[in-house]
Amino acid sequence: MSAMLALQVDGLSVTHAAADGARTVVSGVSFELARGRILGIAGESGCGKTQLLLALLGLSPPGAQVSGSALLSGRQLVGADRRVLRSLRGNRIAMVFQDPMTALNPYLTIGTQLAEVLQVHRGLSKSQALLHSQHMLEAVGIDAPARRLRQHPHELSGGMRQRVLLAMALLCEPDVLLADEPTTALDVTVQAQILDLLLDLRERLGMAVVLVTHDMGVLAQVADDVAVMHAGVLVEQGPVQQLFDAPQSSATQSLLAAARQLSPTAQSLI
Amino acid sequence: MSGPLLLEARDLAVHYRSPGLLRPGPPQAALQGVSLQLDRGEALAVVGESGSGKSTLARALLRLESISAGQVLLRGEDLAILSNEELRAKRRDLQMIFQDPLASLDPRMRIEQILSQPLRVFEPQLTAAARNARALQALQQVGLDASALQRWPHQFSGGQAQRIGIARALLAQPALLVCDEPVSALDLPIRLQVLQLLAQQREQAGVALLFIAHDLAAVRFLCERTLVLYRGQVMEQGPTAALFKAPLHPYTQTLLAASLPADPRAAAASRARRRQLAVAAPVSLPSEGGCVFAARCAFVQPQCAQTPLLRQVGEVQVACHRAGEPALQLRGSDISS
Amino acid sequence: MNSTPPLPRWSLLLLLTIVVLAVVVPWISPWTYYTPSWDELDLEPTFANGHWLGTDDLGRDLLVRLMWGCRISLLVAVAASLTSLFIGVLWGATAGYAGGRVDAWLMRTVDVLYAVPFIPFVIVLTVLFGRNIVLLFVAIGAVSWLDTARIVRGQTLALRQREFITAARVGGMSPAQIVRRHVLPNLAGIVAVYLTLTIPTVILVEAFLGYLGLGAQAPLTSLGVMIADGAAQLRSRPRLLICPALLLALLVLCCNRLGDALRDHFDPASGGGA
Repeated sequence: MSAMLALQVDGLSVTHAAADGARTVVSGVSFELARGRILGIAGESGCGKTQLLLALLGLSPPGAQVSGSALLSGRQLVGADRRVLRSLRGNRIAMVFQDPMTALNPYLTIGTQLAEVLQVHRGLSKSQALLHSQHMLEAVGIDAPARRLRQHPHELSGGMRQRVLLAMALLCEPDVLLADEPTTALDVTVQAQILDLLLDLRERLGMAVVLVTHDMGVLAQVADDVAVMHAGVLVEQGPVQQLFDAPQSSATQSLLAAARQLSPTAQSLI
Repeated sequence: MSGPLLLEARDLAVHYRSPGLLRPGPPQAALQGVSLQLDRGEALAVVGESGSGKSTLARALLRLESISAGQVLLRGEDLAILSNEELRAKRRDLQMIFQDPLASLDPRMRIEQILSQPLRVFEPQLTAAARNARALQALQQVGLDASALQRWPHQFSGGQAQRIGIARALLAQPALLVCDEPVSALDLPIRLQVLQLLAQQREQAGVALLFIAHDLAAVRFLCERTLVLYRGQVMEQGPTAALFKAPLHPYTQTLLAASLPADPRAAAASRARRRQLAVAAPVSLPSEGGCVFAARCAFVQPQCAQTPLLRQVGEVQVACHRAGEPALQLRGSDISS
Repeated sequence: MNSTPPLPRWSLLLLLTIVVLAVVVPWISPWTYYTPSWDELDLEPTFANGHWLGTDDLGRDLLVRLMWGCRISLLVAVAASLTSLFIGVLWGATAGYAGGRVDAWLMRTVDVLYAVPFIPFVIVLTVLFGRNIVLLFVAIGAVSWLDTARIVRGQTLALRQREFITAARVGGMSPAQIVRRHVLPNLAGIVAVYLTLTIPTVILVEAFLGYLGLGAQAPLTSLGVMIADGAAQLRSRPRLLICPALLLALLVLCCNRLGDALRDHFDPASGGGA
């Protein structure tokens, strides 16, 4: 029942134009994501996982060729008209990036940046948008939300900024949330808080999440299903427990080996 | 262990004043009352979040920043009384590797030049050919080959750049290597390789390690002792194994609970532990003095308004009034073996 | 890694051509720049008698005078730029790296020197030392290093925070060594760009001085002097103004274009700098 599927990707490929010929960064990726489920995409740096997310949003670099199919609640994203994509971005499909410091405009207040999303997509007035934003800040666990709205990004810690970005992504209650290594730049304690928050929000809002990371420990914590990418290809996917218990591909095995060695439950010596 | 300790810090404090508009603001303590000991060939981990002062500690130990109080002794010699030139000579023994491996390499120098620098400074009698030979040897020790010599830093990945950084540091043949979050910016598989490299170099060269990190799990097998910092003060220190098995300070417990196990079955228990440590509502204590961790502590009580001193409890030293009480034991299975 | 954008070939070629002509033409030309020729006054440009640009009101070959003027202008420009660069870079790098009171004193000095008005300064120098070309170098160089110092200081301040500088300190290098081996090479990009931008500025300043009568002395000429003289005879002999003015415009254009391109070329984000 495709109506139940938040995201249905089939044979998605992305080719970049380079000075020395074309380079395929994503090759024939297919997966399905139902509402309320968290899909983790694991892989080393350069395996194409970020490019995959950007292609879903239509944000591939200029000159890139995207082929295949990506259905967002039944709507085709690949090759869609620019205006259609713009109306969907931030609205039905949202993204949280890795570096909270650069993803926020340092010159505008938090409130202005949050309200902007609602003003554009929901046509709310600024004061209405700010009220909604305040509720959302509270929902993501930021204290004194009314005061935070008036603050600028540099006045917040890294963890709080990432929460703000999450709030911004969730303002329009999207069907799908894409998260590109959202906790990699954060301390381990803050990372745990953000991941716990993600699970809370999933329970309350029922949205689907695609979480991209190189850390299998993160996926063990939050993912329902896991897909592993290597050199642009999806080499393995399945329920999280199955992948951890019986990894088939060498890419998965090497990611798991590293995570296990660096896990607090590790038994063996380096 | 004969002779003075390799490195000792006594009651180290670093204060700074943020420049205000008309006059400087109130003094803020980046480090307060920090003492540590490190002997030849040992490995000590310093763990804490951003803002804990761990980087400040590293820089203060290396005299890259000035100290407001306390002493840093290298083989019993106070570094503060040395002249700039004498200090530079001592630099040979105190080397460092950095958090951003690519940023620590001069983008306008080839690897060959970067590696020959410590040799030029500390062993000026070497000929160019001898320097080249040593640089090549250092590269091979860290698992890179001769082709790297002529290349530029931006041509290397993060993991490779960190290896080059390690090679450069080891060329000075230091007694102590300070590692300032050297693997935080690297993928897990690469992280493991670099940690293994450090462990190997420690065995072969007998160099002592001071490893700074924000994740306890990362230091577990590299460092036999750990020091936990929070907002510039030592919360707990002792054998790493003891900290893992029975963390006494609530902050150490928080750090450990935040370390994610690589096993989906353990996820729920991990989350449950974090919930036990979460603060229900912000507690108001007098803002002056008292335990720095009080505002985040799930076990805070009126007595915490008095600053707890570092005291010995079993194998570890801990700065908490309630350390060891049964109420502070977390419900749920132990994290480690 | 993007490939670095190529330097603009035409600007480079044009500039080199002008320089070569300025050097070669006076050598091979049968006329000098200073010998008046009473029976060759005000000739129009022809190929027949060899006066390709004609002659001026004193019968001197215009092409040779133009090339001589170009020589002088370029000489002053390059010398003044190099002088200002040398002083400015050392001053700025020292201030930026040392910081604290050294920085404060050095930069306050720059601030004070900024207040010195240029033309009166040149006039005072003229009165003290008489008129000669060396004076021009000094005057212009002594003023234009101020901007360079400020820019270099800013760059040095930014560089000082970077980790490879900390690594060099940990590596036991003295501040002077660090500035020499790490700071200066990393300034090369911006310095190169700045050089190509100051050269046209200095040429224009020299032209301006020449226009005021404070430049090169007759019979020696510079582009500025030629423009000044030509302007006075615009109605009767427009050629005398148009030729040097065009050449000046071309020179300035080429230098500016090169400066823009060098800036892109050295930008580390585009992979240049290797």
